[in-house]
Amino acid sequence: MVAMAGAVSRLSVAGSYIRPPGTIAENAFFRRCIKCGMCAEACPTRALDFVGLTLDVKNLGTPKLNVRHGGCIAWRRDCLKCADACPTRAIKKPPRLRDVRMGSIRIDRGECINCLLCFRECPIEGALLFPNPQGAPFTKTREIPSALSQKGSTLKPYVDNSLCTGCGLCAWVCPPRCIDLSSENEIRMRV
Amino acid sequence: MKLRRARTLVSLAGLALIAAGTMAVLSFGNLCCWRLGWVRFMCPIGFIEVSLAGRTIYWHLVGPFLAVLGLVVLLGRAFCSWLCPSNLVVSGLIGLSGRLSSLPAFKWTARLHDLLARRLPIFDYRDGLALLAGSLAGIALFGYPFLTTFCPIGVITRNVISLFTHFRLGTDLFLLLLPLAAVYLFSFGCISGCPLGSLQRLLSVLSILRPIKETQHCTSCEVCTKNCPAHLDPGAGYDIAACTKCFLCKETCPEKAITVHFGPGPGKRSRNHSKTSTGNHRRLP
Repeated sequence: MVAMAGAVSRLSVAGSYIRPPGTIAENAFFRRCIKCGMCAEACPTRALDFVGLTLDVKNLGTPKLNVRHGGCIAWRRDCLKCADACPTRAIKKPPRLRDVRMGSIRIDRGECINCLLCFRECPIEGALLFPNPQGAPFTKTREIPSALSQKGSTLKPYVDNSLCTGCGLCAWVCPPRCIDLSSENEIRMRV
Repeated sequence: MKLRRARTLVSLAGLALIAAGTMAVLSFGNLCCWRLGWVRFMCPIGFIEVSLAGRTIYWHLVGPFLAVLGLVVLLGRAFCSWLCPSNLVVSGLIGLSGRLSSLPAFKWTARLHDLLARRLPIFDYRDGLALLAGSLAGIALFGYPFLTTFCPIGVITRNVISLFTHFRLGTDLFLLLLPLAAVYLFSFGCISGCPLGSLQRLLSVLSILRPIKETQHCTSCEVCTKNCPAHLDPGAGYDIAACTKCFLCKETCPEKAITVHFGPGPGKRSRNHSKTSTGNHRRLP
């Protein structure tokens, strides 16, 4: 059994996942998470599901955000029910929610149809921007002239990744699914 | 067979409660961790695991942990037969395989089972404890609570949550095959292999519910021992710690010679004395 514990913890491939807000660092998280599923049980948007049976055995059963199920509403209103539910404080209430980043998004410009649903969902003003040929970019849906946001327009929304928290709400509502949410680790690996 | 149905219903009700709590977003927890306000009653194995893996003591969990241990001391392995969803699945499958193997097309399964049961070693409760000790040592050494990943109770719990949040089951359901195979092949899996069961057995010192046979009515037909999941003989001073309080012995006894005694009984101390008494009893006609 000692050998099995060692094998599981050493041979496991390290994946990266979009964790709920307030999740402690990944190298401490796997020590604390007991995979009880209380965070997924408590999540009001049902955005959390579990890591399945992959080569990353170490993280099997741990919670991850799945944008196909929903996005995190912590920045929109008082939630953090996952942190409340976690018995081992593997998910903690962050002191300042503004500093928390779950991941970051990337919009596939080729597939975007300029429906601007993402603008409506985004809880942080200024994280999603629409280019303005005559000055500062638009931040609100109603400011954008409909002439600029036609389906075939070359102007498409873009992200200010210094403000985006990666809550995934935009990716969840996006009809052509052209918004890709990736975790912080993945971004670091790509850079 | 009334009690058997009652036990199935109680464990199903436990799962239904988790499902209802999940669907209504009440988040009162599940079998891994039960939440009552800000108090969390965590699975004792899970608590020991995270404490060892994180090399910290979670002070807010210590009180509830001791409360759970107290319950185990009083009730022994009652969780195993009344609430454990793994037992539910296992006994369901064993019943199904029993029914299947009576069909001519499935005769070979019974033969295979017999063959394997004869070839493979039968594990004991001490093997379970060794397994648990080894696992905990590995967890302490490598800092990864790996039993939480593979625990069949946890796998079932997660899948119930997954089923009632996203209406689908996870791929980790395949992990259930491992303990199922162990139970099927060694037919002692729950009793000897399960870490949680071993821990409960280790702690069940008081065991306030004790089925004991009355020697004047007993005909030594040993139906109780055959039906007992732990193959116990409920004579005086038997190893009560192994009893899962399923009361099948009481139910199946043809002479109705088994009664359930309440209150702290003779613990493990009186085992020496008991051996002679059962010996004497066996010699009686």
